[in-house]
Amino acid sequence: MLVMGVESSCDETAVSILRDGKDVLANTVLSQIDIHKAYGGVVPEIASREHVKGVTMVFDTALKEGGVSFEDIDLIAVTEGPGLIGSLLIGINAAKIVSLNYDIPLVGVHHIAGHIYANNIEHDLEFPLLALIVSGGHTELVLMREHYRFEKIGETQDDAVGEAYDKIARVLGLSYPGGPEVDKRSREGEELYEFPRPMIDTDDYDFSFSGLKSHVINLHHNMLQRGETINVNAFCRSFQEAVTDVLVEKTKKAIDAYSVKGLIVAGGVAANSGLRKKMKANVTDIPVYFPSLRFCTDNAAMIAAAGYFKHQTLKHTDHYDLNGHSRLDLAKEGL
Amino acid sequence: MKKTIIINNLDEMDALANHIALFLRPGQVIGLSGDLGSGKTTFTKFLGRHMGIADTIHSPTFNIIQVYENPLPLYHIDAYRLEDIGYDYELDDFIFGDGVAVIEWYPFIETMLPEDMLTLDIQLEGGTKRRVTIEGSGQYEEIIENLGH
Amino acid sequence: MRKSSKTLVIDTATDYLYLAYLEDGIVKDDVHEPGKNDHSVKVVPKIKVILDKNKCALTDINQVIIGIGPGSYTGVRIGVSIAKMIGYMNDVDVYRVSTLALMATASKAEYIVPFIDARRGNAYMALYKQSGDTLSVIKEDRIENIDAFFSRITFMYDKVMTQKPNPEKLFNSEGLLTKVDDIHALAPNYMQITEAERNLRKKHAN
Repeated sequence: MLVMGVESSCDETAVSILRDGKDVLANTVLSQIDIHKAYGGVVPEIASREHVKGVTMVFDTALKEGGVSFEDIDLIAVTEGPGLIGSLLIGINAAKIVSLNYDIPLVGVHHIAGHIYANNIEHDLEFPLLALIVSGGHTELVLMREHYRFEKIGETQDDAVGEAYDKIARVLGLSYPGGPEVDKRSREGEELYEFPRPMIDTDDYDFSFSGLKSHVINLHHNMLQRGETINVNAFCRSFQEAVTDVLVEKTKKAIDAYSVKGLIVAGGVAANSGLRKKMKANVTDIPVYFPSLRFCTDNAAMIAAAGYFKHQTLKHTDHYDLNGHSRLDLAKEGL
Repeated sequence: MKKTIIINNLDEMDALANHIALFLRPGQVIGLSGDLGSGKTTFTKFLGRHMGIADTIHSPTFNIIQVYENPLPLYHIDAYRLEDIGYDYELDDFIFGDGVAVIEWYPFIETMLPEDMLTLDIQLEGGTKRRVTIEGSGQYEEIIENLGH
Repeated sequence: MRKSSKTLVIDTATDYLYLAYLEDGIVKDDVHEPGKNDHSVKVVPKIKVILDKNKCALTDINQVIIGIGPGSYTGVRIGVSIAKMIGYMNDVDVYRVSTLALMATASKAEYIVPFIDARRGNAYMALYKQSGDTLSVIKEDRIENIDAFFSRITFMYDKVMTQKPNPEKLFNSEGLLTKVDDIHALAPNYMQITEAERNLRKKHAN
C-alpha cells in the first residue's frame, strides 16, 4: 500500500511517500529554517506564506523522487494538528483536493502520533510502549498497548517544558531558541542552586513547570536587586537538572507501573543532551529510543507512517470537511 | 473606567474570572499584562472554565494562538514572542472574530488592537497576593462597574 | 482565455466563500455563502457539490480562475493552494484575478468601489468603471485609510461588500484575468509585507 504523507504544521512543507508504513520511497522537506532564523523564531504569517509558495513544488519533487504518480497512491495522510493554524490549512486543503481529484481515501493525522510512528520506520514498535513527548508545545506521557491506541497517562498542568526553557533563556538574556542554548551552558556550569522539582513525588504522571519557572525568575530578580553576580551557566545547569530529574523520575515510574517494553522520547526537547544522558543512565532494562536526526525534525514520512497504521487499525478515513486544529487531543486520535 | 483590586489567592482570581465571564460577548477582546509568573495564564484557565471549556488550557506561547471551540469560542493569544517579531496579521481573523480573544502580553501589539478592549494588569505583591488593575470603556464598562458586587 | 470550456472560479479571500462553475463562459452554478473562519472546512466539499450537481469531474475542468486577494490572509491562501494544486495535477490553465475586481462584477453601477475591511481604519479598495458589461480599472487595488480614500471620490459610486459576483463579465473586460505562466510561482496578493519583515528592514536600515 502506497501512502502519501503531507505535513505543514510549522515551518516545513513536506510530502513523503511510504510503502506499507515503513519503506520510504520519497521524503521531501522544504524547510523554512533559514528564513525564520533572522527573526529569532518561527513567524506564523511568514510560515503560511512560504507554505503556499512551495506547496506544488514539494508534491512534484516527492513524486519524482519516489518515481510514482498520483494514480499509484492508495491513501493520503495529512497533519490535522496540533500546530500553527494558518500553516496547517495549506497542507490540509492541498491533501483534500488531491483526494477529490484522484478519488484517494484521506486520513487526518495527529502530529504527535507522527512523531511516535517515526520510530516505526527504523524499528518495529513493541507494545506496551511508553512515549515521552517533550517540545515547545507538549509535555506528556503516552502509553500505547497496541497500534494506534494512545492513552495520555500524564501531561503538564501548565507550561510545556520547551516553553519553560525559552522563558528561562529569555530572562537570562540568552538567544532564541532558548532550549539548545540553556543545554549548552548547563554543560559548562555547576548545580549551585537548589531548584524545586515540582510534582516529582506526586502519585500521578503529570508535570508542572510554571512554579519552577517562577522560582528561577524570582531568584534571578532578587539576586539582581541585591547586586549579586549572576552565574548564568550555573543557573542553566541547576534548572536543567531540576527539569530532567522530574522528566526521568515520572517516566521511570510509568515504565514500572505499566511494564512497558520500550520507551520513545520524541519532540524538540528530545535533542536535549542532559535529558538523553540522564534517561539512558536511569532506564537500562528496556530499549530507549531517541529519534534519529532525519526524523527528529518535522517530516511527512512520519505522517504517512501514522496514517498507514491509523487506516489499517481503525479502518478510518476522513471526509472533505477535515479541518486544521491548533490543538488536538492525542487520546481521541485512536478512538 | 478603571478599578484596582487586590486578589489574595487563587480562589479570588477564580472569582474575578467568573465575574468577567458572565459579561462576555462575541468579538470582545481582553488584554493581560504583568510579569512572568504573575498569573496571566492562570486567569485565562479560570476564565475558560467559566466560559464552559472543559479542556485544559495551556499557554499558547509556541503557537502564539490556541483556538478553543465552544459555543462562545476562546482565542487564547500569547504575544510574548511578538515583542521582537511584530504583529502577525493572521491574528486579525481571531481578534476581530466571533469569539472572545484573550491576549497575554498585549502591550507588545497594542497599536494593532481595537481601541475598545478590556485590560487587566496583574502585579505581584508577594506570595499569592496580586494587585489587578482593570480598565475598559464602552461595552466593557459594565464589567468594571459591577466588580465586587 | 477560452470561453469554450469548463471553468471553475474560486475565491476565499473575503468573508464570503465564492465558487462558480461555468460552461462556455456562462455561469451554470455558483456558491456564495457567508462564513468567517470556516472556508477551510467548506471549500473542497462545496467544490465537490457544485461539480457533482453539474455532472462534471474535477479532472474535466479545463480552466481555473482564482481570486488572489487582497483580503483575509488565511482565507486567500486556502483558495490559492487549491487552485495551484488543480493547475499542477491536471495541467490546466489557471488565471488569476484580483478579488476586488471579482467583487466589482457584482454591481450594475457605472462607478464601483469593492471594499474589504482591513481593520484599524483601513480597507482594501479599488475603483472600477463599468460600461456595458465591461469593467475597467480607475484606481488600482490598494490598502488605504477608509476616510482618506472616499474623501477623494466626489461622484456617485456603488460600494460592493457582500453581493454575489458575476464572473461572466471578467471575460469581456480587458486585463482583469492574467494567465499564470508558472503554477509553482503563483502566490496571493497580500498588498502588505509582514510586520516581521518590516521590523527587520527597519533594524537593518539603522
